[in-house]
Amino acid sequence: MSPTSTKVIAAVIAVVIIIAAIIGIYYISMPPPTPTPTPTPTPTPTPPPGPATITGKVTDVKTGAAVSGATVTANGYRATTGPDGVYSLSVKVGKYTLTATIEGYKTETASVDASGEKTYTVPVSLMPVPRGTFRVGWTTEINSLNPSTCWSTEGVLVIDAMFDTLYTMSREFEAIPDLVKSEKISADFLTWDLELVQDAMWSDGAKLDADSVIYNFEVLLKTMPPMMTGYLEFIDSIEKTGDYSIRINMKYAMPASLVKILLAEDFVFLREKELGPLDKVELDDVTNYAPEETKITNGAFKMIEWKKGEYISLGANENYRKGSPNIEKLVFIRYANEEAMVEALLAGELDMTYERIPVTMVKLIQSKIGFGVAVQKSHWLNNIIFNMHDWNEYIRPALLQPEVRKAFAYCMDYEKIIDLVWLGYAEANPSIICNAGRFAKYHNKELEYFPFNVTKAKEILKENGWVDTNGNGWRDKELTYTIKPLALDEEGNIQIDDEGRLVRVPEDQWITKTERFELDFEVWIETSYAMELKCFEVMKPSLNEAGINIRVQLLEGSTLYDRIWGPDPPYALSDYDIIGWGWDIEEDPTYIMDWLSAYQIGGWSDSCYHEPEFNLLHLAEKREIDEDKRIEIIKEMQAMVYRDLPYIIMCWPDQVQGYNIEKFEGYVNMPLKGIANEYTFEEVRLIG
Amino acid sequence: MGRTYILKRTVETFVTLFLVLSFSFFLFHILPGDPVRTLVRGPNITREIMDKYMVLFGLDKPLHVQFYKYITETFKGNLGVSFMFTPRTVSEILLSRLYNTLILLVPATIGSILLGMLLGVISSWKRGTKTDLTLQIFSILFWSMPTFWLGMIFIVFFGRTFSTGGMVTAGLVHPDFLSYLNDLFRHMFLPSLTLMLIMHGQYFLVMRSQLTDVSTENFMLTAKAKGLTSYRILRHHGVPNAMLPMITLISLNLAFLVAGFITIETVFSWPGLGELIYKAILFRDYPILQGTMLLLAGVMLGTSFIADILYAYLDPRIRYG
Repeated sequence: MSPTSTKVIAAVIAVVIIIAAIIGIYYISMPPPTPTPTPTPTPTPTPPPGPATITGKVTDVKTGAAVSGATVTANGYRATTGPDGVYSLSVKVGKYTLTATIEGYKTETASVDASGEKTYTVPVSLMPVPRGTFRVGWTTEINSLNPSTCWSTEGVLVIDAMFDTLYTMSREFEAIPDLVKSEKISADFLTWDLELVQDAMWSDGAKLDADSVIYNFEVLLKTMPPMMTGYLEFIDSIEKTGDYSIRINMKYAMPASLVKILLAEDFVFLREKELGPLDKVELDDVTNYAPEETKITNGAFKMIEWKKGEYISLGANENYRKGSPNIEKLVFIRYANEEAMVEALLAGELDMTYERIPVTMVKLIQSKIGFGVAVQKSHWLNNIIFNMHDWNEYIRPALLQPEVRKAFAYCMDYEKIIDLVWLGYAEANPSIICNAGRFAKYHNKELEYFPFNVTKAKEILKENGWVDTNGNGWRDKELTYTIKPLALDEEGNIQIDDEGRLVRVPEDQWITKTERFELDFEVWIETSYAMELKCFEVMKPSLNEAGINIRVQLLEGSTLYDRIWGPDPPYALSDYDIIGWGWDIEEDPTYIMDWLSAYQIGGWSDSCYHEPEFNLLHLAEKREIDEDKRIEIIKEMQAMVYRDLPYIIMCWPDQVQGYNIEKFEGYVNMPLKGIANEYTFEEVRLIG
Repeated sequence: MGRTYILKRTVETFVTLFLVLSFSFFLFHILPGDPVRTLVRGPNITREIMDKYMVLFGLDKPLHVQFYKYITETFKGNLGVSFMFTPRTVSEILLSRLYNTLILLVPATIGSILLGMLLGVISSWKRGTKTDLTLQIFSILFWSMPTFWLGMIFIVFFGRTFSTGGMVTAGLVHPDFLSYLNDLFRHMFLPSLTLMLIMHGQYFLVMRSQLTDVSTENFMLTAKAKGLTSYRILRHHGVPNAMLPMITLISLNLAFLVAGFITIETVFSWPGLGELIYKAILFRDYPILQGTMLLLAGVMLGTSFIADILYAYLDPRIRYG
C-alpha cells in the first residue's frame, strides 16, 4: 500500500470518529424527556338508551375463557360483563367505537356501525397483559427435582414451588396448615385427624383428595427413600377417613410443632397414574421418578423446562387454588460463583439473588440505581469447634482442659469480627440457637459473650499451670490424660447407656499417659468458608499475646471430613485440633442439639462432645409435648454448651440478598430466609 | 506407511487406554474423602442412611470387586450412574457437557490457531522490525495473563453488552433458529474471545520460531532467487515446512483444552466439561471422574495416533515400518 493511500484512509477514519463523537456529545447533552402530566378527565354524562343494541362476549384470547367484570364502553354508553362474559348496550342509531377494558388485559377497541334499530353482535377478545418473568440466581447445581433424591436446599425450593404439602412454613417461619384445612390431635399426640382442603388439584385437572395423599404417603412409607427417612420414620400408618380426610398414626409422641415441620417436607408428588399400584411399587420407581418429565404438579407453579446445569423454568399455575402467581414465569439460573451472579444482577440478567451475596459487594449493589439489598437475620452460625474426644490415639489433651477453651473465648473480639470480616452484616449471639423468628422463644437470652479480655485469658492459663517454659512464646504444661476406648456393638456402632454415657471398654484397657503439651494448634477451615479464615486472622494476634499459637489451614471439603469422621466409621477418626466453619440450624432447635449429642458421634458430630446430661436432655426435648417445658429444656442445653465450650459461636451472619427494585415489587422478606422464599415468588409483580 | 505399523499402533493405543483407566480408578479411590458424606448432608441424616447410600453407590463392596465391575461395564459401554446427579447416567451427563464445551472449544481453538499462525508468520517475515516486536509483546502478554483474570476484566467492561452467564438466556423461548444462534453468540463471545487471546500465544511462538529456522534453509533462498513473491514463498515453501511441530502442538493441546476449560467455564458459568470435572473432584463423584478420564485419555491417544499418521502424510521423508 502506498504512503498516500495510507494517509487518506487514516484521514477518513479520523473524520468518522470526530463526527461520531459530535453526535454522541449532542445526544448526551440533551436533557431527558420530562413526562407531561396526565390531565384529569372530565366525566361525561351517560346518553339515554336507544333502539339499537350492541352485544357480545368478552373472552381471553389465549384460553378462550369468558372475562367477567370487563368494562365495555361505546361513546358514553357503558356496561360490565357478567360471569358469562356477555355485555349489552342499548344505544341510539349511529357509529360507535367500542372499548373493552379490565385490569390484567390490554384494552381492545372495535368500530361498530349501528345504523339500524336492531341487535349488533360484537365479540371482543382480550390479550392478557404480560406479567413478566422473574429470574433468580444461585450457584448450586440441582441434582434432582424428585423430593426423594434431592439433597440441595435450592432444589427443595423449586420443588416447593411445584408441589404442596400438608403443612408449610408461614412468613413468620412457623408451621401452618397448607393442604390441611383443620386438624384434631389426640391428647396423647399419637393420632392426627386431618381435614384436607377440597379445592386442591393436580395440573392435569385431577382432584388432589384423600386418596392422592394416602397413596403418596403409603408409597413413601413402603419404600422409605433414604433422603426422606428422617421425615417419615415417626409415622406408623396413614388411613382414609373420608373423601377429604385422613388419619395419621404416629409411632411415638412428639411435639406438635416438630411433627408439622417434618410434614412440611413431605411433598405430595406421587400418583398411582404414573407409578402404578402400591403393591408393585419399588424404591427404584420412586427414586427414578422425574417430575420434570411427567410435568405433573399441584403447586403454584408448573414445570416448563429444566436445562440441566443451566436453568429451571417454571410457569404460573393459572388454576392454583390459592390464586395464580402474579408473574408468568419463574426462572432459576445457575452461576458458577457469587461474583458472577451479582454482576448478572447488575447487568439486568437477574431480578434477585438467592444466596447470601459477598458482603463486600453490598455497597456496589446499593450504589446502582434500581437495585436494593435485603438484609435479614439468618439461622446460619459461624463457630469454632474443639476436638473433645478421648477414645483413641488422636486425643487432644490440651483442648480437653476447660481453661484452654475459655482462654479462646476471652481472646475472641466478636465485635471486631462482625465489623471487619462481616462489615456489620452479622448478629452477635453467643448461643447455639438464633434469636430470630420462631427460634426467639427457644433462645437463652441470659447467655452473653465472654468479654474480650486477653489479660483474663492469660490469668486463667497461668492459674492452671500453663507457662512458657521453653521461651518460644507458647504456653505449655505437663498433662496426665487417659484414653478410654469405646465399646462398640456387634455392628461396630457406639453405644450409649441409659444415663447418657458412652459405653467404654473395661477400665483395665484404658491407657493413661503423661506428656508435655504446648498451646500450639492447627485450625482447619474448609476451602468454601473463606470468611472463617478471616475471623481467625482477626483472633490470632490476641491468642498469640495470651501465649496460644494457631496455624490456620484451608482444606478441601472431602479431605477435611475424612480427618474428622475418618474413612472407617462409626466412632469417628477425630484427628484434628480445631475446626472453623458454620452450621445451618434448619427449622427446629432439635437439629443443632442432635449434632452436639453423642448420638451423632460417627454421624455428624464434629466436636465429639459427649456430656451425659446433655444427651439425656436431647432425648427429653425430642419427646416433650409441652411446648413450655421443651423451651426450658432447650435453654438448659444452651447453657450447658456455653459452660463446656465444645463450640464457641463467633457470630450469626445475616442473610444478605440483592434484588431489582425498579422492575418488580412485592418482595416478602421472611425472618431467617430473606426474600428468597415461596411467598415472594407468588406475590412479586411487575411494577406498573 | 505399513499396515503392520497401523495395527501395532492401534493395539498399543488400547493397551495404554486400559492402563490409564486402571491407574485412574485406583487413584480416585485412594483420594481422601467420602462421596456419601460429602453429598448427603442435612438434618435427619443418620449413619444408617449414609450406609444405604454406600450400598446404592456400590461403595460397600471390596475395591477389587468394584474395579472388576467398572472394567467389565465400561467395555459394555455402561459408564454407570453419577453420584452427584443420581439417577442420571454418566454417559448422558458427559455428552451434554462435552457438547457445551465443544461449542466453546472449537471456535476458540480454531481462532487461536489461525490468529497465532498468522501473527507468527508476519512476525517471522518481519523479524527484527517494530512489527515483530509489537506482535511478540502482544502475544506473550496475553499468553502470560491468568485466564480467569482476563475473563473477569471482560465481564466488568463488556458485561452489559454481552451476556456473562450460561449458554443462552434462561427461560427465553426462541422464535427461530437464527434467534437462538444470536442469543448463543452473545453468550459465547466473551469466553471464546478470552480463550482465543490467551491460547494464541503458544501457536504464535512456535510458528515464528519454526518459520525463522526454515527461512535460513537453502530452498528458501532459491525461492527468493527465482523471484517468487513473499506470499508464494511463505505459502508454498515456508509454512508447510514449519507446520510439523504445529501439528504436534495442536494435537497435544486438544486433550488438555477439554479439561483445561475449568477456569473459563467457572468465570462465565458455562456448563461444560471442565466445570463438571472440578465439581466431580470436589464431591468425589467416581463414575464421573472415571468417565471423564476415559474420554480425555481416548481423545489424547486418538489425536496422538492421528498425528502420527498425519506426519507421514505431510512429510514423505518419514516412513514407518
